[in-house]
Amino acid sequence: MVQATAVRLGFTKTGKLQFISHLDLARTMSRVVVRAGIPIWYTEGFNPRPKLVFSLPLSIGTESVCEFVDFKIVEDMTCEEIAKRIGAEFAPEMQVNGVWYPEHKIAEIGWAQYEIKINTSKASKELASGITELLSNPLIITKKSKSGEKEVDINPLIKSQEVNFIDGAIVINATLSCDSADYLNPEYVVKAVADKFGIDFEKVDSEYYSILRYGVKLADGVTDFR
Amino acid sequence: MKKNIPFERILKRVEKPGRYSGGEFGQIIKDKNDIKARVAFCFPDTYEIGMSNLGVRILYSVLNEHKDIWCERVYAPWSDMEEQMKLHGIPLYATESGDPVRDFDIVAFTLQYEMSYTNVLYMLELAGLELLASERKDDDPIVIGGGPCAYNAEPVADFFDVFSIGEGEEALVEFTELYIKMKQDGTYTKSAFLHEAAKLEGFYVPSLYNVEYNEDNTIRSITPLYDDIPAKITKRIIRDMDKSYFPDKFVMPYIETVHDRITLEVYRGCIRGCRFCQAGMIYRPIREKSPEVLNDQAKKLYDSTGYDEISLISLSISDYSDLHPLCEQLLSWTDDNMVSLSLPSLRADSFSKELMEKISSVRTGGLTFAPEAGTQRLRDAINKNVTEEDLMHACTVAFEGGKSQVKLYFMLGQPTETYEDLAGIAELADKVVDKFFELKREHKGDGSFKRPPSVSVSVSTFIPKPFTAFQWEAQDELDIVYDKQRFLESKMTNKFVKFHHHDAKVSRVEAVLARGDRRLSKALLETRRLGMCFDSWDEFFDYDKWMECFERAGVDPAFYANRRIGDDEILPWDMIDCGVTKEFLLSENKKAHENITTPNCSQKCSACGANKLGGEKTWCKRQL
Repeated sequence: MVQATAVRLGFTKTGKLQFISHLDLARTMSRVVVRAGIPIWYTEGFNPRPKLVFSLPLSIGTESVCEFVDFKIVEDMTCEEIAKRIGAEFAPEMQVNGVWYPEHKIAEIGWAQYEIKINTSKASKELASGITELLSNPLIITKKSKSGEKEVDINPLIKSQEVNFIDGAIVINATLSCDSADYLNPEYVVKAVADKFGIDFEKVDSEYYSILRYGVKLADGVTDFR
Repeated sequence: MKKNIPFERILKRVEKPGRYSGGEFGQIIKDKNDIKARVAFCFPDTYEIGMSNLGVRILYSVLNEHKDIWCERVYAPWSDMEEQMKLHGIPLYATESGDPVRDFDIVAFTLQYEMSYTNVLYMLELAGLELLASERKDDDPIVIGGGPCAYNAEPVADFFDVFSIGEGEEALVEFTELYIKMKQDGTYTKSAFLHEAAKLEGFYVPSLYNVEYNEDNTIRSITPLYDDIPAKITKRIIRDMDKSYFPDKFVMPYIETVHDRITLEVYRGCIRGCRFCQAGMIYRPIREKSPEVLNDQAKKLYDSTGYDEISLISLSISDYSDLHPLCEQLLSWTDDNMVSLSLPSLRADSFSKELMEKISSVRTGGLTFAPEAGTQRLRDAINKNVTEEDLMHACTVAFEGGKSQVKLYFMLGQPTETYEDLAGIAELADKVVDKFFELKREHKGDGSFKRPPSVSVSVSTFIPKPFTAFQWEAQDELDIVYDKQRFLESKMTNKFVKFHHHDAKVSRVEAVLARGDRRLSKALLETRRLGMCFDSWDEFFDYDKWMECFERAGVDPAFYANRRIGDDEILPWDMIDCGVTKEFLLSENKKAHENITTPNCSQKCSACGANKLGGEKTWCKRQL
């Protein structure tokens, strides 16, 4: 068997590409590594495909500047060379953050940091404090999953939060749980806020929001996932 | 006018936003200021279908090779997106720039199937353009149509300024260059431009041809309005396929499309001459590409796309002269790179074990054959020169190769068909099942034939199409079609055979549109009034609405679909010359009624007439 080396690619997925699903991203990435000529390890079996492992799923409608995918290479190639080649095969709204040998296991990921920006005619300093209050206390939401609906208190899944009123909009910086069992999709935070304060996103002209994932941390909440 | 709101906010509110977001790797972005003509290339169906079309991929690339032209893509938004666009005052826009289609110079529609006509009108309306060509002004875009349906575009003639007849790689560039030239030298008005365009080879400007009718609604005459435009428009062809433009890059879709792979066009045309088949006539003469050129194109596309599948496309892949050398050249590098090879359009009679091993080296799945008719008598009449023996041979190869699924395609209601022919469909399916068990007995104990056989029989309804030997024939009335479908159902008793038939009502509307004349434009205008679109989709097609449109427009669908057209009648598409002559088609029609077959082009030249168009690597030259 060939000696295979594990590498990790860090990349961004912003702008229009927020509308590309995780599954579509995976298919796109396998074509990217092929046309970049990366000597990648393929899955065994009947229908061999480049073996790619994404660390965290990203919901449609969420942008990110810190995505990761792991793969193995079966021939020598420097991380710089891999980064350069892959960068050349990305569409403009994907950028390479770097390629390196993984320092942490994916299972060590504990938290992700998000910037949630809510534009609403109701935005004010008072609303910002109201949201801080809401997120600092037990907060029961209905979580939908394949197995059905479930009532969950999301407060323990929010490690930290800071809510500000900036340029007429509400900006929430929040560190949310990424633990596989307790993954908190930031959309739930937006929904909880909207429900509580009566923000109607049907009125797209004035009421809308965006979510950006900007950091991924280990269970200690401090160390960057590398 | 409502305030234009950023796109992202709308896309969060629709299904599959990746259909509309653009931003794909390989999309072509140019600086508007350097551009002399902007072309919006519209596919009147969803993104997933439009992005799968090789013709569009070729034309998109060839237009963008030109430094003065920027061609962008446009697809039909699904109903949820339509709702959002209307709600927020967003007009139909082009994928690359996001600019409104109405601001373009040229709006091009590819007409791949008749049932997409309602979407053409739907898209024109979403773009904020007048539907009727006569109501669009000098500063509106020129609306051009092309593709297989342009061979009889009369039903949509009122909505288009011009049609491109035949192959577009060279023609569309010439057309756009003429536009640029007239804009630059100040001679451009819409009417002056169209008059000049009508003089280019292969362009049909419907407003410059006057159609008169007889009392019985048949056509009396079709006359050009000017002496300097042709009375008959000869289709364009690419003479040398090896030298024809072929892209070395594709726009790479993020979302899954229908055909998401490398597609190689192995040759154009077909040697077969099935009498119901339009593609088999309008793409003649056959012009092959050489295996070296194809292999080179495949390699370049693999490097630039990273796709893991190559599909060899053509009307009947096993007729390609150099199929084995081509497969060998491709397999010399595809296997090592985990790239699979697929060969759709295989003919039963040429199905060898060797060939199957090649295609199944990476990919499995069922096999598909199209005998089209249940008895040899009818297969002779339609000139589908496949015998039962051929089919059984192919099934043997497939079953012994470990396959257990076979799909069989048939057509119901073809000229000269009897109930005996229909019963033959069920008998043929039973024989395929019997073959499976016979082979299973022979292979007893060797571990193969574990899965039970599955034979699926799919039956469509015959639609008489322009430029076929059956263009004069009547389609069965609906109640006859239903009778035949019920009869077939009663014959399908084998538990290993699954039977499926197409919606006869869709086929009837398709027949009306396929053989329609200009008077149908009125009915199509009504479809827009009723908000009809996506008629090729089951969930949208509404037969009653179509009948209402025909009635409002005062046209009788039976006149177009269910009438045997007289041999001497002027046909609505008689101003188009597709190469194959009307005399040849008529003689083929007569032979059908006498159950006489015609040899294919590799056996003998039947003097169809297409060789007058010239072309390299044709079968014509080898015969003459």
